[in-house]
Amino acid sequence: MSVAHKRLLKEYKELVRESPEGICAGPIDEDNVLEWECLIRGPEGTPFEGGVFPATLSFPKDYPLNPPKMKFTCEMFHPNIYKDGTVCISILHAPGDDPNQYEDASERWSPIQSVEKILISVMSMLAEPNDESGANIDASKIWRENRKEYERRVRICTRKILGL
Amino acid sequence: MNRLNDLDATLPDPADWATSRIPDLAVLDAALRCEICKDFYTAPVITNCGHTFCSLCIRRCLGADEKCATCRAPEQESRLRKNGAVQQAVDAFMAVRATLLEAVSGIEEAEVSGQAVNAEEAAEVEDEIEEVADIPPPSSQRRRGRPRKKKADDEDGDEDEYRPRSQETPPEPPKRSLRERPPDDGLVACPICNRRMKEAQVSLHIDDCLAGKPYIPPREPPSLSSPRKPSTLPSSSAPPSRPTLTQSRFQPSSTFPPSTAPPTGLFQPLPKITYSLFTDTKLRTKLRELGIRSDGPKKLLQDRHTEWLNLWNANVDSPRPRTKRQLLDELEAWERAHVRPANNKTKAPEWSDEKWQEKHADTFADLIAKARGSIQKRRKVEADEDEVEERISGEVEGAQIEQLRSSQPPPPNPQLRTANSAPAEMGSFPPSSQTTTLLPSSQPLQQSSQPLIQGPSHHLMTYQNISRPHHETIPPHGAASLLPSHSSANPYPTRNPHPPTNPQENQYVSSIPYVPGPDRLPAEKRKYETILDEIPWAGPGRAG
Repeated sequence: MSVAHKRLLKEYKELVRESPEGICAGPIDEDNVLEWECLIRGPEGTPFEGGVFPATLSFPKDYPLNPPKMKFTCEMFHPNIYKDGTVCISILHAPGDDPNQYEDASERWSPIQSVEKILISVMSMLAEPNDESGANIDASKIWRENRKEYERRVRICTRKILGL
Repeated sequence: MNRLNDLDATLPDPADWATSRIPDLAVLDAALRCEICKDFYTAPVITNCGHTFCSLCIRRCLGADEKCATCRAPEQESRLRKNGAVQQAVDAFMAVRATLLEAVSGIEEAEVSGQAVNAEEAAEVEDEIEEVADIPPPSSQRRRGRPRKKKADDEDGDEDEYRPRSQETPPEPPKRSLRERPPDDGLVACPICNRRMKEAQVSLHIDDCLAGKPYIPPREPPSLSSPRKPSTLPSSSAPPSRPTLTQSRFQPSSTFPPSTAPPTGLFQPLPKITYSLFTDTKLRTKLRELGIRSDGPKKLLQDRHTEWLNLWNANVDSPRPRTKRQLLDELEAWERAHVRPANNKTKAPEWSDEKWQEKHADTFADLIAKARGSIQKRRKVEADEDEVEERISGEVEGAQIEQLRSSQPPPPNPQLRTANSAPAEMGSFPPSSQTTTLLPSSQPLQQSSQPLIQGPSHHLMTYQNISRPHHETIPPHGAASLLPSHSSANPYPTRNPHPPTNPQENQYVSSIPYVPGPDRLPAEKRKYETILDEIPWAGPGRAG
């Protein structure tokens, strides 16, 4: 069993035992632990509240040396989420690559981070977008200039997720 | 969930203690684990900033980014130092972990049965019991394990009456057995035979113990085991019922008991190299010198070298170094896991039937048409020799044609004559050059080691004489279908894995002694049919 495999199984075990509130994650196929699926509950008090957002995590073979990639599989309207669902957050950026040239090294990926920490970070990112790194320029702009419109757009996504 | 239960057995983790009587042991368990691999430290080293990791883990990390994984302080591999104290602590803990876990667990069942006995309190406890019965084991253990944590510490029993009672009565046996042997003599019990000995001797002893040898109190000077920290745990110390990955890591120690292990001096740390100063060739030489694989592009060579350095230098830090053979196996495993796809690309492109068929589809079609045409023509009239030769020229390499044209027909081969004397319906088959040459395509499967070219006389001989006896053994439809396979091979003899040549035809004939007679035919036919099936590039022809 490779290091990545072993470590992911440990993290999975840990998450099943005790996962933080509003977060649920695990391998899609137990024979391939490098592909995970996760569900994140929209944080309370935000327009995401009430929604449960599915995403996939793709781990590199040299995990935990390098971070996984995270992609929402539902429509998301958020300044830090690309239109294809890919999440842009510093914890998912390897120390070497800094697409936005602003991130503090201390926020970036390090092998001691974990799936749990990633998901918690993403959850808090949903609540508090970082408008410095605009992955979705439209969303960034609307978020900065017209918060009400932003919330309305987000609620539409949330409702879509719930099938309303 | 089943899978997860399996994980429980194979992946020990701090949460194992959550359900025990001393849940705080989870903290100790976690403290002895590397933050990178989340496993017990293997050959722990300490960074300049005071963080400890497995040697291999941090070396790999520093290869990617020269910073401490925990605090991101700049760090270099050369500054890592062995952390002997942690190694000792891990070894000691690993040695007793399974036993300890067994000793402090078991509270669950005991408590449940205790509740069942006290039926008069059922009203109060009912819910609890149901909970226990309904919920699958892992979660129930967790839920119930947590509150108990405090209860074990302060036994005031303020909320539930049944708890103190259950703690007094049923779970005692394991507890007592622990209390019965407090280590007042400063010795440690062998987990297998329970004999007490000095901690440092346990690992030496366990190997012998497993091998069935009696325990002989060692008289050796302590210096033997002290230079390499007393390694108290080989994997064998754990009961076989709880095989663990972490323990399997320690297995080498049983193959290398400290007494026979090579002295650490044998393994000298390898220096890093600056890859930009190395050309491909130089790097390859370097890898060969190290005794590791040296194929692949430069990037792979670099990665492989780096990984080898990591493995090797981590091994140097280990109190139980492994052999080079074992390290090579690990390198191979690493390569399989990380670079296999890249590695495949570096190999010569695999032969692709589809591509070949696609590329030469026109030629195939043309040749099939020609073959059919020639057969029909032959049936009507005798073939015009010149025309036939022209067709050959389309398929056979120039040199060969020259040979064909210049050489005289040799005296008939006696062997071929026998062949020629073979039965009946062959007469109806035209001795066309194409039908002749189609044969060899199947032949290389049997004799691929033949020399490419022989004397011209062989060509003509085969050309003129061989075709008949062989054709009769081939099903008529096979004749046309075989054609493209030959023609596809001939224009590019060097690229073809089994270049068919005329001389081989000859070899072929002689290699299958022809026995005339009807009995021979079915077997021969079958043979050809199987050969046909094995020819990968005969596809379009057969389809047509």
